[in-house]
Amino acid sequence: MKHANSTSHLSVKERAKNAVQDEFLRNAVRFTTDRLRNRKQAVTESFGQWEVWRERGEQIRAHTIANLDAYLAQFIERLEAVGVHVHFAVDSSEATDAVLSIIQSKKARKVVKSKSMVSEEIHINQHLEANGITVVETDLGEYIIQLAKETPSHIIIPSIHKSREQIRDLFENAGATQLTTETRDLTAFARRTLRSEFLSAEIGITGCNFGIAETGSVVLFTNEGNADMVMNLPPTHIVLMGMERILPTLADLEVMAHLLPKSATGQNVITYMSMLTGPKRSADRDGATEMHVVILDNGRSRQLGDEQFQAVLHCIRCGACLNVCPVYRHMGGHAYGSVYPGPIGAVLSPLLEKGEQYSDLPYASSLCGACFEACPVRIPLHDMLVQHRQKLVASGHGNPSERMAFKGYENIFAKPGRYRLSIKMARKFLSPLAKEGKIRSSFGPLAGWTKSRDFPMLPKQSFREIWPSLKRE
Amino acid sequence: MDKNHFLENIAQRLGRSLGQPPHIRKEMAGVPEFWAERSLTPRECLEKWIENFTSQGGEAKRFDSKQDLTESLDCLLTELSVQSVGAWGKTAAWPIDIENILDKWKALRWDETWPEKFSHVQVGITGCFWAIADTGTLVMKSGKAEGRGTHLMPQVHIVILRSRQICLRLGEVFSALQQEAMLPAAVHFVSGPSRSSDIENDLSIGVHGPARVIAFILQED
Ligand code: SF4
Repeated sequence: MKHANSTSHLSVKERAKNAVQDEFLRNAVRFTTDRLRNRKQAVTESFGQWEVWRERGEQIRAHTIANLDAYLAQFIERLEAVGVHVHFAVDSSEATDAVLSIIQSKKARKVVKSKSMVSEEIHINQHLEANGITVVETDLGEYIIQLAKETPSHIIIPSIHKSREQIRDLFENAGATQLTTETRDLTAFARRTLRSEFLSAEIGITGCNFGIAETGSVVLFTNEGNADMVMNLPPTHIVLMGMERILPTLADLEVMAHLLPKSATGQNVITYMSMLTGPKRSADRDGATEMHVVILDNGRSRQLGDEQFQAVLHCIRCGACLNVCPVYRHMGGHAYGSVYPGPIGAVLSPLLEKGEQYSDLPYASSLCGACFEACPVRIPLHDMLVQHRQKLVASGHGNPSERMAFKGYENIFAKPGRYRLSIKMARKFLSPLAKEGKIRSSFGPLAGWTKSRDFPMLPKQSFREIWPSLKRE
Repeated sequence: MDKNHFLENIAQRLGRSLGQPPHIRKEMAGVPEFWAERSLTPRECLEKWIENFTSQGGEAKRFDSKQDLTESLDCLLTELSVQSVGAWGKTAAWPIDIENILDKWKALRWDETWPEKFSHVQVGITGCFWAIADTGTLVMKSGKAEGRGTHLMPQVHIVILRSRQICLRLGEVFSALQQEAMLPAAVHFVSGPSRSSDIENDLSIGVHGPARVIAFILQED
């Protein structure tokens, strides 16, 4: 399968076809998502009172976003007080320009990076490389796909679609000799190679999981410890963050420190949670001497004040909604053709990027509601998907002849039998949840389905094409 | 874009005016009450910490006396046939004095050498500031003699702690940190060895940080 960059001009249908043809990918996606989902279920059960935690998570995020101006202002004030340079970017080109000018002012040639969705969103690597700067991804999975010249297929496990033989070949192309396909050996090669990159890079770029308003701290979660290397070893550290990544207090961080790893990978705790408050102090012997934070809007502020979509900014990027989504599980991340895949991607991508490019993504969903059930901050993704479809039709997206073509499907979907079948399928996908007695609550979202059924435009062909194969699952 | 325009736009879309304080929060800040209200004895905290830490791939050894601890540390270094040891500086906040061992093994001291040197150190020996029972976590603060590289860069990290340093939950550490005059530049919450599952979902250990994290705990009652 080709990488997403070269396929983003294709429709969901075409991308889905590509992805579905890739047997390895499909099996890998299913294996990983099952594994992550099962572990999550186990860890949240033993943790207990998960619904209470989710509610608290939702309250914190809703309150923060509803008062974002105040908390962001406080965060910025604290950052500046500890000597951090803060930059503001309305869109991705302002963000990349800000990063590039910092790098150029240091006359730097090499950048090490840890995984960050925002950096994918603004395509920073292409931009820097076009300016003659070497960018090295240091998250093991990101490093692998960078060597393969691809883009991530899963928020949490970006190289989910690569086999160990493929990884060995990539590493050999990168200079390894006589490598076996043992995880141990592959890991050792990556450690050695990347360690020298950390030590020679002049700039480190990380994302930001949370910015704490009351302290001006930037908080990062990783399992490998690569973000720590990225922020500690090079002399200049640049943080790229979406403007919504704020939490008011450290007390709120305590809640997220439980919700995020448990939802993302079913781990009780993340291996490294690192909290940076400004650049290194004068007595410290390591840590970046200069720290920059680039705060990005890029379409986010358009959701503020929007009754239907403001809650999309509550997202903490855990990826749990991907792992439970039957459509994602079937076709993997690349088929979405967007930086953010899965249900969150289907909602977010068309919001961040106006116009037609991602207007078919809201159809890449069965509206079964499993995403909402999985979301640690209770974002009603399924409702948003329905609202997207309505909004897109109302705004006249999708050309008239296409709409005529869908007339036929309207009849099929209007038949009670077809509708019942869809419920039956939803029930089947949700059966692991049904055992937990949660199936009833999953049925709420299907009310949204009925609503969309009455709407003039029905699911596009892409979705219809995906649906029959899903039935065979 | 400048700061004021950026913030102004956000405030306006939210129907707020810039400079207006956030709405008052009632009970929704921080963890649920039931979580904050739990309490465990120090002994139970120790047990819970060890259980969680070891389940995440960490190793824990406990001792009743300082002498047993230092002897066992010496044995372990011998067993590992270590070529190079690095450690926090002499003035660091060591929970227990292990200078004799560090001398014996000619440990590189953080504040007496260059940080890059620690990239080739096999075993890094440090204390820690707190530990968290709920999640089997070690809390490391950056400081003059307690560099970040001492626990991040070596292949094996040995950490010395007293059982009284173990709190039940993360929030207690946050409260303690906030009582300090200023937060340190870096606080690392480390919960076991560096891990990844990016190669066919197979667990790979030590891809960047230490591949073994071994805690030597002095048990106090
Ligand atoms: S929408 Fe919810 S489940 Fe999906 S990534 Fe965001 S926080 Fe996680």
